Formats: sequence, structure tokens, C-alpha cells
Amino acid sequence: MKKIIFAFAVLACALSFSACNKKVEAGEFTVEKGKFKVGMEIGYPPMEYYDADGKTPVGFDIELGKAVSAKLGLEVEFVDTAWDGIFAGLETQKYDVVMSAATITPERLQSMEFSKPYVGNGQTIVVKSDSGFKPASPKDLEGKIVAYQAETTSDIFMEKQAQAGLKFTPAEFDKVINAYDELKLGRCDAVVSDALVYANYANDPAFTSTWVGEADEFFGVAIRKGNSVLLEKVNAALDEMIADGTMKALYLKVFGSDLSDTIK
Amino acid sequence: MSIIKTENIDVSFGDLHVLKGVSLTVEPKEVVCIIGPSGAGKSTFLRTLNHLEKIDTGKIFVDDKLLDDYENGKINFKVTKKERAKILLEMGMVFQRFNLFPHKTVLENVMIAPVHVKKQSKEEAKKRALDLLERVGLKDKANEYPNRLSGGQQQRVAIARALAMEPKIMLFDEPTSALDPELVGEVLNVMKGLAKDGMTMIVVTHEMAFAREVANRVLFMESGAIVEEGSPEEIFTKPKSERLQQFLKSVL
Amino acid sequence: MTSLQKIIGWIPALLEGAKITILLTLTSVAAGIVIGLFLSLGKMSKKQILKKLCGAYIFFFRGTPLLMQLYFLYFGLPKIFPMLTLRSKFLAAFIAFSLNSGAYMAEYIRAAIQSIDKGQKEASHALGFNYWQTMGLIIVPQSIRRLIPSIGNEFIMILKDASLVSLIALEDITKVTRSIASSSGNELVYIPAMILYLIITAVFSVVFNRTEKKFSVYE
Repeated sequence: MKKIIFAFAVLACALSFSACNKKVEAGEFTVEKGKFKVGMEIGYPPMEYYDADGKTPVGFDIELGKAVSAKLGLEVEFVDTAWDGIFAGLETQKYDVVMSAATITPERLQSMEFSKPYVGNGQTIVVKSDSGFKPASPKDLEGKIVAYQAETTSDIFMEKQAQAGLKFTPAEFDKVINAYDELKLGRCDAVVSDALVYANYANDPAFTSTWVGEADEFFGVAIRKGNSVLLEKVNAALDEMIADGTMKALYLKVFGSDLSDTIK
Repeated sequence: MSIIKTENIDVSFGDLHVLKGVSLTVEPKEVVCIIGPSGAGKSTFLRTLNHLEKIDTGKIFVDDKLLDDYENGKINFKVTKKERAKILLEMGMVFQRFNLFPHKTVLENVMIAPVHVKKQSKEEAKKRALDLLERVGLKDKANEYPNRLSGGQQQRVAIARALAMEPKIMLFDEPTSALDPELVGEVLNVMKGLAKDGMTMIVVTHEMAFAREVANRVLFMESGAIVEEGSPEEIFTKPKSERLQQFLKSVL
Repeated sequence: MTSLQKIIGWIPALLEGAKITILLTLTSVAAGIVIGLFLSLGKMSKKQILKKLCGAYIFFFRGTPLLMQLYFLYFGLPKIFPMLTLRSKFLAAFIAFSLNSGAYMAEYIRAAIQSIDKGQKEASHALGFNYWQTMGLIIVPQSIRRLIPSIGNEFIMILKDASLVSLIALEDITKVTRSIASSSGNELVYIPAMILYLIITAVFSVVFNRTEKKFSVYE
């Protein structure tokens, strides 16, 4: 019995020491030495999602994360996190950055840093191709059931529409995939999502995008406020990638077209 | 015509041979008391009559109609379910622990079976129930719940409840064994009244005075068999078997 | 705007969510009791097939997470059998929660029924009641009193489990709260939300206590 207690005590000490190591020491710019930890909500194709095997993360943000960490000379680690509270994880140092199709907004800039934009995005309205419903603008969504992912820019976009007087029935899902499921099953009239997400479904003949808004949203890498060292390094890495064509190659690989113009 | 006749009833609970070839015939208006030590199988025998216990071997006749015929656990003769239900209605039972329905009032307890089983109208059932409660001396408790009554009162209600179904024969399974001594009398009095009115009764009991006074016939059972049988006079004053003599010595 | 003003501003939305939460809880537990009653009778039956089927149902619904059951019913089934696409989110939630609650209630009911004195069955038999009369008039009514604490518990559990419906975009208290929190960037809304849950729980508890007292008149 005493041996067990002793073993537990040793284990507890060891664990508390390793927890200490997680705190950023002076001069260190990552929460864990040698590692570049990236927080993301893996379930947002084509930016970050699981491959057919159900466990390998793939997507644009994954490619970006790998490229940036290579430039920084660090080992990349992806931390799957629920979108609800993902930015809080920066504060509590669960990871170094958030690369999760995170839009740079003035509200968010009040509590965290953002790198320069790495791709531009707009909202799009998607419908079922055979439904006969063809909204040419957000106004055509009047009286319809609209599905989108909660707490994203799509959510904010629809809220703005509602405040401007548009009346519609919202269906707010935790994951964007569910919103598209809902559309396919005919339980909503339209999906509003990031145009980049739609890029993933564009090949599916069941869906059609009938309206694309201005690419006025920009995705950036979110970094804990005050970690200026990492911010500088990430920005430098992004500049390099744009200059040496790595970024263009990634656009083509994931989206099928060169989106360099979106961040000019 | 006998009301109940059993032939060689044999019952085993696993390895325990509880009833060994019990045969009994009860004529109308007869009061038969069964006495004997605990574990003799008295209650078990009583309960085979109305199918609360299953028999392995033996025959049971009610009103000279064959009800059950078993041989080593297999049925030789089966009466239809409907027939069986009808026949079982001829028997009423009063339990040692009364078994009144606690969530119903006294009156409801007495009415409930006639209404649901005999499909009597509520008014008719109520009238008869009140008459029966009067007969057992508890009309004033009609709207009480059983938990407000003493043991003796509850048992009298139980008797009224069984009588409400107008059975041909009443089976009493140690009706006073769970009662405080001072409450035994009121129940025995009701039973005496029933006997006087000509009800056929089989009573398993430890109340020897009652048996002596009221029974037409007394059976002494021990270890699953009827050891001796006779009139109360014979059984109590001239016991023939040694075991009965010993038993009487120990209880009287 | 002061915090209090903000909170007051959120109350209408929270109350709308409360309607869904309470309605879902009440209907699911009620349906669960009915389902549970038949399941428990089935499990106590002498017919082997019935016994095994009921046992399997109970095993499945108690052995898998409610979250999965809800998700599978709403998203999984329609993909396999398009005919089974449920249009109404509330209906889907109601079905999933009822089926689940039924499995748990079955065990509570079985325990309550089996706790009723054997003598009650014997007296019923001696009076000529058939199985259904015995159950319906004598056994089940007496079981109800013993069930009240369990039913009360189940209400309170489902009340909280109802928050899972955000998965299918049904706007219950929790979903409304999260929406407000993220769009206003203010976690303050969790306070009135939790107080709302507490009030509902307290009301349920009082009702159940009163009911329990009422039923104990005869015991």
C-alpha cells in the first residue's frame, strides 16, 4: 500500500514539473520547446478536416502549419479544439497559434494578435441544385430556412442581415459539415458559408453556389497578445512563402486556383 | 357431491418433498381444520387448491369436476382457461398477512373484485360490500385506508373481501397467526358466524380451541402427509398416533 | 449599458429557449414512462422472445451515449434510409430522448414493481383477477409512489441532457446562451442562464415532493 502511495506521489511531482515546462520561459516564444503547436477546429473542409481514415488531419491550414513550422525550424503539432472557446486556448497557452480559417476582425484584435492575411474569403449562398430555388442575393433568403455554422463570420453575416430587417429561420450548427448535411437532406433552403468551404463541395453536383459576396474577410494566424517574437517570425515566414511561390502552390493544391489576388 | 376432492397430491420444491400423496374430500357445509407443526405442508396444501402452488402429481376435483390432473409435472388433463377461471372463483382465500390493497379504501377493497371480475355495477357492488362490512362489524370503517386499521380489523375486511365474490368454499391460511392475541377473538368470531351460516371452510390454524369448537373434521398433518384424521373429539381427546399425541402435548 | 440592463435584455431570448427545454423534457419523460412500462412488463414476462427483445433494447439505449443516439437519428439514419428524414428538429429530439429515457425508466419501473409485496399478487389471483387487471389495478398503482423519486431524477437529468440539442441546431436554453455569449463576446449571459436552469429544477423538485406526499396517504 505504501509503495502505491509513493508511486502516486512521484507521478504527481513528475506531472507538475512537466506542466511547468509548458509555461513560456523568458526568451522562449513557444509554449513547448522545439514545437509549433497549432490550435484548430478540425472539421472545416477544405481548411482543416480529417482524411478518409478518420485521423489524419488534412487541409489548407494543415499545409500552412507544416510550411510555417518548417521555416521556423520547429516540429509542428496540430491540436484539435472545439470552435467554441478556441481563442481562449491562446490565453491559457494550450497552443502557440490558431490557424483555423480565423477571420481578422477588429473585435478579435482587441484581445489577440493576428499575422498578415494569408488568404481572402467571402460569404457564399449555396443551394441544392435540384430545388429550383436560386437566390441571387441575400435578400432572396427572406422567409427561408438558412443553415450555417454558429459563431463564425457566416453567423455574423446573417446576424447583420437580420438586423437590417431580413426575416429568415436560422439553423445554427456546431459544425459546418452538418449545415451542408442539412441542405442535402432537404431540411433547409440554403446554406451560408465561407466561399472557401464551398470550394470543397463545388465538385458535388448536388450543390450549387448562387451568390458569392466580396472577398472582404481575411484569414490570419492568431497569436497570443504580447508574444511579439512569434508574431514577427510568423509574418516573416508568410512573406517568404509568398515570395518563393510556396503559397501559390498551396492555393492551387487545395483550392484549385491561384488566390494570391485575394490578399493583395 | 363434494365441493373439493383431492387425490394423492404430491409437491416437491426441488429436492424437498413437501406434500406426499395428500387425499382429502370436503363435503358442502363442512368445516375442516388442518393442524400440525410448522413445515408440515399445511399451507402448501391449501394453496395448491386455488393454484397458488403447482402440483407435481395428483388430481383436484371441484364440484366433482376434474380441474387438474398431473403426473410427474406433466398435465394429463387440461381444462380451458376460461373454465379454470370460473372454477377458481368458487374458492375464496383469506391470508395470514391479510394482503389488503393498501391504496384502496376498505369499501373499495371489498368492491373491487365483484366490479372487475363479476362485472357487477358499482351501485350493486357497493350495496353488497356495505352489507358484508356490516356483517363483519366494520361498516363504519368503510372509507378508511387499511393502514388505519388494527390487524384484527384488517383481517375481518379481508374476509368480507373474499365473501364478496360469493365463493362456495372459503380457504383460511393461518388467519390469526399474525395477530396480537387480543385481536384474535374478533376474527374467530366472524369465522364462527360463517360456519354457522353454512359456509364450507378449510382452515389451517394453530387455534386449537377454535378447531375443537367449530370443526366438523380435524386433520393432523406432519412432514407433508395427513397422519391422522377425525372428529374434533377423536383428535383432541383420543389421539391415536404417537406423533399427534406429542404434538398435542406441545401445544396444549 | 449596465450589466443588469444587458441581462434583462437577454431574458426574452432565454425564455424562448426555456420553452423548448421544458417542453422537450416534459414530453420525453412522459413518453419514456409509457415506453418504460411496457419494456419492464416485457422484461418480466415468461415469454423468452419478448424478454430478450426488451432486454436488448434496454441494453442498447443505456449502453450508448445519448449524444450518439441523437446524432445518428438526425443525421445518420436519413443518409442510409432517405425515407426516415425527420423534418422537425423538435420531433427528432423528442424521439431520441423518449427512446433513451424509456430504457432507464424500464429499470426503475421493474424495480418498483418487483418491490411490491408478493401477497398482493396472491390476493389478486385469489379474487380472480387476470394478469392485466392485477397489473393495472393493483401492482402498478402501488408502484407509482415508489417511482416518484426516480421519475423526478429522470426529469432533472433530461433537463440537463436537453442541452445536447444544440447539435441539431435546436434553440434550447444552452444553445441560446452560447449564441448570445459568442455574438456579444460576453460570458455574462451564462449567469442568468444558469439561474434559469436552477429555477426550473427547483420548481420540478417542489412539484415532485408534493406529489410524493400526496401518494403516501395510504402507506
